[in-house]
Amino acid sequence: MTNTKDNRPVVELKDVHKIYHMGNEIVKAVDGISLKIHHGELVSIMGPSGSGKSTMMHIIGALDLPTKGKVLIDETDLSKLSEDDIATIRGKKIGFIFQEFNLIPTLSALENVRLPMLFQDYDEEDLDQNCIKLLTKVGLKERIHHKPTELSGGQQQRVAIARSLVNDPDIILADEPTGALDSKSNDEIISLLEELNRQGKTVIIITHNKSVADHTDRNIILKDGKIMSDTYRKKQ
Amino acid sequence: MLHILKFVIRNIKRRKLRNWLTIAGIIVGVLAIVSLISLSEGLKETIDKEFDSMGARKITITSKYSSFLGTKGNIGLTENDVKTIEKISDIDKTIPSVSGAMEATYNRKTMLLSITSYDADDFEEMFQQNNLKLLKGKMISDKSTKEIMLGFDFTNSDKADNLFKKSIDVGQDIEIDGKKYTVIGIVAKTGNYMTDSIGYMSIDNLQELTNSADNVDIIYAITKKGKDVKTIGERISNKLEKSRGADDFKVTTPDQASEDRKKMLGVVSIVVIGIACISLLVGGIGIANSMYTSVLERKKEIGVMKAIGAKRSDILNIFLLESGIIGLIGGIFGLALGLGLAYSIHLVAAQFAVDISISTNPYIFILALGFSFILGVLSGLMPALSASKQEPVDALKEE
Repeated sequence: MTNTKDNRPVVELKDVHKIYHMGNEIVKAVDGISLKIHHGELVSIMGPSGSGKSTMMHIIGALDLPTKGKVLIDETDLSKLSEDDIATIRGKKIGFIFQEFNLIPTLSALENVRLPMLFQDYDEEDLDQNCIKLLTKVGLKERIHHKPTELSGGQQQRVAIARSLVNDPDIILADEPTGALDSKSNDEIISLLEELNRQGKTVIIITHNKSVADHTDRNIILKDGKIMSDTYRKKQ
Repeated sequence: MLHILKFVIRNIKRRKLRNWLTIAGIIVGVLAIVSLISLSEGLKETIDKEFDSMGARKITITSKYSSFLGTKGNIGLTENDVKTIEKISDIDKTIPSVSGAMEATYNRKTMLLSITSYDADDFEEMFQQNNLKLLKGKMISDKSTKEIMLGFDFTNSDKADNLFKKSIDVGQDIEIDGKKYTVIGIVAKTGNYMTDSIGYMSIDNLQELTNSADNVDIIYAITKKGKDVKTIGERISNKLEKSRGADDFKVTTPDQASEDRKKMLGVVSIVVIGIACISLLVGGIGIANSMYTSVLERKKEIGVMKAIGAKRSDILNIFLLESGIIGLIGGIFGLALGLGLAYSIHLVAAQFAVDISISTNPYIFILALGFSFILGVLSGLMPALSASKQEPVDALKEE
């Protein structure tokens, strides 16, 4: 079980709607979802394509705002914040992991991990040490100066995980983190995410892979922009 | 900040060829502007220097019909005109001058020697005003002794070959129109072959040689200090016209001469700098174009940066810095090449004995570099704004 520290929700959605206009058609990507994710949870969000899980991830990650309803990150209402303040919340509270890794090709592993700090105030001296520590943690100590093109998919995703951790965020938001990886790398990445969760991070994984979801404590299934099921269970 | 700079430079290096092509556009514009400013400033400095050395108080009066070989008949200026001018108030003194070309013989070689002459008393002053110095020997100080001073080229063994085939030194004699003259001084090198290959003697000697005791070619009228040279010039015109009964002379005040040249220079500079500005404009459009392409290519990267906490201003700064640095690199190369071009023009002109000096005033450096950086930033403004305004979700969806 997770070591739930307290009962406050780190992410809270209150009757969230997201409506797109595609020509004359109105698409309800998210259709009235209310949800609380508490500190230290390991959650998977599943659903077929078109179920609204990508939109959910964008809204939870403060990358997009809902058409209607409220999003609270760490009890802060995003609708009341300026664009810059929302960027700061993304930078400080949320670590993103993408399916396609999304590393910057010109930068080395170390520089990619350091990149988020470019947009924050930080203590210059400790930074490189901290980044190296994170890369060591994900097993890439020997490859800190390698460019993304010199790394395998699994290694790139580990760099991305280290990058997501550099700001010491509360929430790790992973969008199909193993979607582009072979099964061996898949297991490595999932173990890493589990390890992070054990260390107290709230980890949210968006996936359509049942075996990935099986590693989580809570499984939310979406369909047509609504929550079909929300189940807590023991990990296998 | 240092990391942002490193990041930006990395991005510029990523698109080397495209960026070099963009930079080339800026180089051409900056090169043109720098070389032109350097040359025209140099010319201005030269004119200003000349203005000082000629004496800001010196009015020059010549006959409209005077020829280089001296004037004949009564159309030239005369000693009488010198007296008329001397009487005008605010004139400190007058310095009459006669020039002529006489046959001179030395080392059994005869050549036509240009001779400039002043009153024996005026040599010190005229030499000072014309920035001339004696290299060795002494200045002409007696009006009737048969003495001559020669330009530097007569002692310069390289150039003397073209003159008397043999260099001359102080104390030696040369023959002018059959009369023996002693060389008493050598004038220091001026760098101008005209002034370096002439002779100087007293006005009385030259008038005797040319058989025109009364004739004067040029009258220099030096005004008293702090007086308006132009007004006095007009007064000289009026008086001379009355006394000579004809408007057959020319009065030139020094400011007119240099002002005219400055005006000419100004017009030329404006035209050419206008052309250079057009090429800079094209260069700026090049930067804007390249940056727009770059923003489109890096849409996903922008999304990632926004996802990991970059604010609008961060993205804006990254792209502005990038276009600014592209401009700056163009500026650095343009500056170096521009100064190189100006210097080459200076060297080529020197081959033809034309003195085109160049200015290396530090403000040209600061102007060129500052300007090209700002040009880069301004050209990158629209693309950078469009980058910063991208919604992270839209940018991330980009494949």
